[in-house]
Amino acid sequence: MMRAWELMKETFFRKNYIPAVHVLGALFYVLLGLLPIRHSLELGAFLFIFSGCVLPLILSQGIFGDDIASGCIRVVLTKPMSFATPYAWRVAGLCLQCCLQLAAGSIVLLVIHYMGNKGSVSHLLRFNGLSLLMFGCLATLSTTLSTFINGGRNSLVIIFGALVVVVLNKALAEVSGHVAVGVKGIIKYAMPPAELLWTAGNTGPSGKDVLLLCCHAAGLGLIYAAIGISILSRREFPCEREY
Amino acid sequence: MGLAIECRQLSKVFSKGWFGRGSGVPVLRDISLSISPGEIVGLVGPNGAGKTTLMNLITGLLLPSKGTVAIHGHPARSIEARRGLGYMPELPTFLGLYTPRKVLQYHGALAGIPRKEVKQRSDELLSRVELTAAANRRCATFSQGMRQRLALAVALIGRPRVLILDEPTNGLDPVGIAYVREMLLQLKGTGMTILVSSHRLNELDKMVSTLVMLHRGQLVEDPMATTSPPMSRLYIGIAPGTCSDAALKGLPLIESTGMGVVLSIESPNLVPAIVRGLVSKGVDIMSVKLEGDDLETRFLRLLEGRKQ
Repeated sequence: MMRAWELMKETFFRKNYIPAVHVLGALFYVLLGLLPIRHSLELGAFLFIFSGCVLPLILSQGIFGDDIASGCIRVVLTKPMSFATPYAWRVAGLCLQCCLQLAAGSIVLLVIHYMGNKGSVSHLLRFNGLSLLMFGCLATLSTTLSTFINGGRNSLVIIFGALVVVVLNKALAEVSGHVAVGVKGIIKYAMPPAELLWTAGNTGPSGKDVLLLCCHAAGLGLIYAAIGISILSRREFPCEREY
Repeated sequence: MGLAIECRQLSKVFSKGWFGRGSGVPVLRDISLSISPGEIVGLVGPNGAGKTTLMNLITGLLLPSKGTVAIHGHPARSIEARRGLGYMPELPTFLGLYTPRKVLQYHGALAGIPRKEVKQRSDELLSRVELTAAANRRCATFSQGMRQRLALAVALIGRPRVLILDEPTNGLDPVGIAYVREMLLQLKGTGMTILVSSHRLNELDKMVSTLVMLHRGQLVEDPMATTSPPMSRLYIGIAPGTCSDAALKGLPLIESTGMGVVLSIESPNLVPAIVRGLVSKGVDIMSVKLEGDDLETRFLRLLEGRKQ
């Protein structure tokens, strides 16, 4: 248990700016209270945008890549534990931070709604769950990229990938060939399901659809994690002079 | 009792190019090495000889291209092998926001030590590496020497049976170096096996029982053993005008000036006979100084021999 806790705690202390990001995140929600928000606007959507989509990229930046570049990982991986242990507990640490950020954000949004009479909170609980699923998917994808991309470029790769996906989606919207359908399928089902989760948050799907969506997002997270752990346990960790 | 570290026909080739398709760079070739429990083994060699690569293969951070490595009978990289392993890298880095106490707590937890024991052991190790006064200071403010000492404490936190130290005295002042030496000798007394690499050969000379020398990725004979008997230099100061060429005939002369001679001798026991011989030939001797053949000299001579 102590090992798990230390690995989770490390994800908060590994960068000077991480505590500041959490404070800025809470401030972002507080500032929403100053904006003229109409009653029909679902406040939970802000949780999905910040905690679900932006936060995982900031928190997981260089989560393994920084350690690999600095050589820290060389001491960590000589400890008697499976290579899956640091991966799993570091991702768990990220998810714990997301949960705390979601809780703090939800409290602020509820205050804005009930005290300021702004926006709607009818789907707030649903958006909390969907944001956590989105966070998990993006965090595992980013962590997996970090096992082979040195330094903190893993998050940049995801941002670039997201831009490519948006452009491809636009370009292939009207195309109906086999290749186009295949590419669209890969984008929809193999990439983090931002669009599916966003739609589910706003439309309120049936219980069966929610279950399928949860399984899909959790399954993707597990596949990304399995790839990351596999890379971590197979790759070598030479020091810089040996490259 | 089995061997602490055993390398069998170990080779390492670093692949180049995309997906390792390019021609590889051979760094180690056919290394076979056996280290018994309780030994301190020094790993020496010029830069690029493959010392760090050999250490990385033993710790499991690299995978061998050929051959096997075992620690106490377990394959390197297995959890069992890592259970008894302590490792100190050449350039240790720590989380800047962590204090030494937190660093030790973190690594102790990763090593699987119970919380209570970690606290006690951290305090003990901090005092051992003389970092108690800085125990609550952030590591980001540490000097190279302090980082080296903390890295040594990190390597020891899991009570390892095998300790791998890559240049542990880098950045340490003479007092720190002497301190590390004393500490390693104490650890040897507890039955710990220590593999240490260093460029400070005369430092190693004072603590290791065996030397392993690498040159261009291959093992070279132990310079301590192979250059035996060691050669010493005898400096004899002579009064000007009292020494002729005939008086020096038959002596193992290295250099001769009007003020003195330098001889190369195999044993200090030869000194009285040489001095008596010179005096009997009418040479006025002003001073005699014998300088031992240190490890560095033997190492350089061995290296010179390999180059030729």
